[in-house]
This record gives sequence, structure tokens and C-alpha cells, in this order.
Amino acid sequence: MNAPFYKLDLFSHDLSLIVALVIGIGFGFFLERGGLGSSTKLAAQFYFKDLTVFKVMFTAIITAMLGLYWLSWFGFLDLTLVYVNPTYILPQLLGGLIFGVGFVTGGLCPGTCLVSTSTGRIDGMFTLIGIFFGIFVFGETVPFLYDFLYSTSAGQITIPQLLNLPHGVVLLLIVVLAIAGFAGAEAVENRYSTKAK
Amino acid sequence: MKMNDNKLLKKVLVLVAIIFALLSVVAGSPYKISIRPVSTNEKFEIEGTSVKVIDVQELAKWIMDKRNDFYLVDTRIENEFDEYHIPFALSISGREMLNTPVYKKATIIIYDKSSRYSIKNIKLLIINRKEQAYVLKGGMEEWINKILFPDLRGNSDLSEEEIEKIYKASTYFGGKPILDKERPKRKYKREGC
Repeated sequence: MNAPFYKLDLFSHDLSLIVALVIGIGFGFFLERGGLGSSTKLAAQFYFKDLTVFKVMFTAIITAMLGLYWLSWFGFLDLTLVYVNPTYILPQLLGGLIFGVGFVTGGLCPGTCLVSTSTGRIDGMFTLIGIFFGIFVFGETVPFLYDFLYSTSAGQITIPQLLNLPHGVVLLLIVVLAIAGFAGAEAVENRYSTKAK
Repeated sequence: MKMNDNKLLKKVLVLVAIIFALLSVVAGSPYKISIRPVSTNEKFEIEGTSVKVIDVQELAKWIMDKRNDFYLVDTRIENEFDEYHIPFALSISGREMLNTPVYKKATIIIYDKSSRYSIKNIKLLIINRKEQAYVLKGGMEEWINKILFPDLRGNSDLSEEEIEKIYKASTYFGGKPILDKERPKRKYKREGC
């Protein structure tokens, strides 16, 4: 087994921060090159005019999912050491809702907001200020929220466990879903962008 | 021409994704060995490193002796931990164990539901503590069956002293041995947890 590198002590905590910075810069670069630093482009998704975000995200999911599966299968990665974020149903539903409202209002999510800011966009900077404000408010109120934050726990559950299906079948279902989604997204884009014209 | 190239690239990528997804259906689980039974020996080997095993009686004795030189770590999910856990156990995920310096210096005993331990937790233990890492043989299942509610029916080969010991441990932790006949209520009471 070669990965995960950090957990298998291949590099120190300090070095991990540098690695994270390099990966972050790479991630930001590709987001920018994909046009995702523009709030106009991102907001167009909610009006079905440009579903680039949907396509980029689903492509990333498919790539990561197949990559993790096969790297683990060939023994390059120990999947049991990959952290699975625990599920807390109601807190995460509410968090998703707040995130969604922020996304549609500002036209940017945390990652794309940083990309936008780094290229000098004013709306990105304001969204970033909003993020820091949100972090501050959350940090100050979190002691009163613990009961809610840890309620409706479903544990560190994965989709194969939830559906009680083999990993391979889940992978295939998600790939089929993604391909159908891409085809649907292109059809929707054509329809709504034509209407807009 | 460029448009045609893009379309071709998309088709190729879709095809590659489908092929890998189809292969994964027949390839089976990506987890090579996710859980492994703990052997009945004092130590067992995992990827060339030996991990020590402690049995539930020994752990019960450690707790009853009020030893405070070890950490007991429950690696089950939070709900199961909340429902019941061995006294003084901490509900800590493998990741937390890895990132908390204090655990790197202490003796750690981890336990899971039964004698099948997640290889993930074992590995994290190995990474953290090569010498002072133990796993609890039989896990919570054995703790319940041998410490909390030991079945003493038909155990005629046990000496009175041994039965006393089992009874004491059981009541100390709030349990009750299963006996042929009700034991006279006397000196035992729940002392600890």
C-alpha cells in the first residue's frame, strides 16, 4: 500500500500543509481555466442556461470515484484509511440549504469565491467577506448548537452501505446517472439558451 | 473540426467511464482486507507488526484496580457508544487518535463490536504506538457475555473463588451473572461504574 501518504507517515504535518497549498493552487487554477471564477457563469446554472458547474462537479465525482476504487483494488491505496465524514441528517440538510441560498445569492461557492477574488473580481471579494462573517458567527454560536449539530447521526455511512449493494453496482449506477445527467444538461442548456436569445 | 474533436473526446471519456464501471461490477470489493479476526494468541501479526491482545477479564481487573495509565478507546459509531460503553472509554475515531499527541505517548486499548476489528483502526494504532497498543479480544460482545452477564449455569468446574471473582466483576460494572439459582443477596453491590 502506498497511499494515503499522510496517514502512512510519508510526510510530516508541516509538509502536508505545503502539499495542501500546492493542491489548492492547482485546484484553483483549473477552476479558473474552466470559467468557474465568474459568478455570472455559476448563477446561470440556476436558470438552466449554463450547466458547466453541474458537469464539472459530476465529472470530478466520477473521476474520483473510479480512481479511488481502482487504486484501492490494485493496492496503491488503502481505502480503509480514507476518512469518511460522518452523516448528521438534519444539521447537514440545514447546512446544505444555507449553503444553497448563499450560492444562488452570491453566485459563488467558497472555492470559486477565492478564485474569483484572486483574479480581482469585486463580487468575489464581498462573498469572501461574507464567508468570514459566517465563520465568525458560527464560531461564536457553536457552543449553543452542539445538541443540534450532533443530532440525527447516521454514522460514517457510504452509499453502498446505505443501499446494501456491492461497490461495483453502485459505481455503475452513478456512472449511468452521470451520463444521463450530462445528456439531459446539454438538452436543457440548448432549450433555455435558445429561449434567452 | 475542433467541434468534432470535442465530441469525439467526450465519447471516448464516456466509453472509458462505462468500461471501468462495468469492470468494477465483476471486480468485487475495493477493500482488500477490511476486517480481520483477532487470533486467540496473545499477539497477532498484521502486515509484519505484532499487535498485543488483552482479554476482557484483564481489562476489567485494570479498571477495578483503578489503573489510570492507559486509554480505552471505543471505535464503534457514536450511537452505539451512547447506548453503552465500557466505563472510562473514549469515543474516538481513528483520525482523532492519529492527530492527538497525547495518545501517541500512552498505552491504548481499542475495542470494537466483536472480535472482528477494523483493519483501519489497527493500522492507525500501529502507526501511533508500536509497543503500547492493545486490542480487546472479543470486543464489546465478549465484555457483555463474560463480564456484565456471564453465564454461570452448569459451570460446576469453577471453584467458589472463581465464581466470587466473576460475580464481583459483574456487579462492579452494573451487570448480573446468570446463575442456576438466585444467589443470596449480600455483600455485593455496584461499586464502580
